[in-house]
Amino acid sequence: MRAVLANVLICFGLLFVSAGTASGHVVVANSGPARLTFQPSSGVILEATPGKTTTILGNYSQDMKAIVNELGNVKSTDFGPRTGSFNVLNVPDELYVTPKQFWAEYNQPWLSNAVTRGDPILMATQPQFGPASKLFRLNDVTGKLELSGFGKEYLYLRQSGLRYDPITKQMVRSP
Amino acid sequence: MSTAIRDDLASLLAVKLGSVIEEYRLKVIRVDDVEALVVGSNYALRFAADRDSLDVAYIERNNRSRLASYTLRPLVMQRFTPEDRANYGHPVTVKDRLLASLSVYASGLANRCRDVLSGDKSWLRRRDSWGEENPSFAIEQLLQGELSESRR
Repeated sequence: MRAVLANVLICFGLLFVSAGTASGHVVVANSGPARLTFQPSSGVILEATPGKTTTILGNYSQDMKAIVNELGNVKSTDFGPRTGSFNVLNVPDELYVTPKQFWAEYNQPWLSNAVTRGDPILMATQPQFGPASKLFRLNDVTGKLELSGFGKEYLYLRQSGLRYDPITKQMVRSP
Repeated sequence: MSTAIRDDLASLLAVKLGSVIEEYRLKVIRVDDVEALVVGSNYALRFAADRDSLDVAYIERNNRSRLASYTLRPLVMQRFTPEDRANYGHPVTVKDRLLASLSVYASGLANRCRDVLSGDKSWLRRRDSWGEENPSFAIEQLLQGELSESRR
């Protein structure tokens, strides 16, 4: 497990703040709210950037569940832009079969679109390491930690040249 | 994570952890479809499910009457055995995976965590190493008047 963790830490490129799960993310209609009332655990203000699609990432149980609900829990596989509103991943439940399948077929393509568009990416959950890190989940078969959905998203963003800014609580392009 | 795929977690907990709940006189409190508390006299276990995992945390009321939450991951990794994990089986659907995870916890808690279930807190002595978090507002509300304060 140490080797796995070490590799992950190297990929992430830092040892403190950065990451979370992807279970529920949504795509909201352009007419959605420009600001949400929910206060996520990271402290980021959930406000959409005018003229852009604002993507939100975070751990499902801790933050995304409430965010998805506030956005109306709209299920969609439309991963296109939501200019002036929010973009969260929330596909119909039946499309989720396994973590690996879901990442390859839905989560990664959805996140790739966000990166390509240059979306502001708000981190509702802080991507930090530690015993309760939301970047990892406990595998009940092996008894070991592995990347959660949120962890995969964070790693993907790190590999795409973004880093977590603990001041703005957003993923930003590394200089 | 609708109930179309996943039954209410509190209901599933009441069934899968039924013997533990009865033996230790615990009660189950529903938070929402995918989150529930198993509550004893001086602690609560918070179960939260999402599509790919079941997360369990230990909640206590500290000596300032404030609720504090600690992940149970390190304890599970230390104490649960291959025999406990064998209860996972080979589930296929999301709901079956949740039930399988609950079976692992039912076995591990009953067989390796009797001290935890009976309210002993010596395992939590070094609290700073257990990743303290603040419980959500909903949990604060649900646990009002519950859990006696910890003496450290």
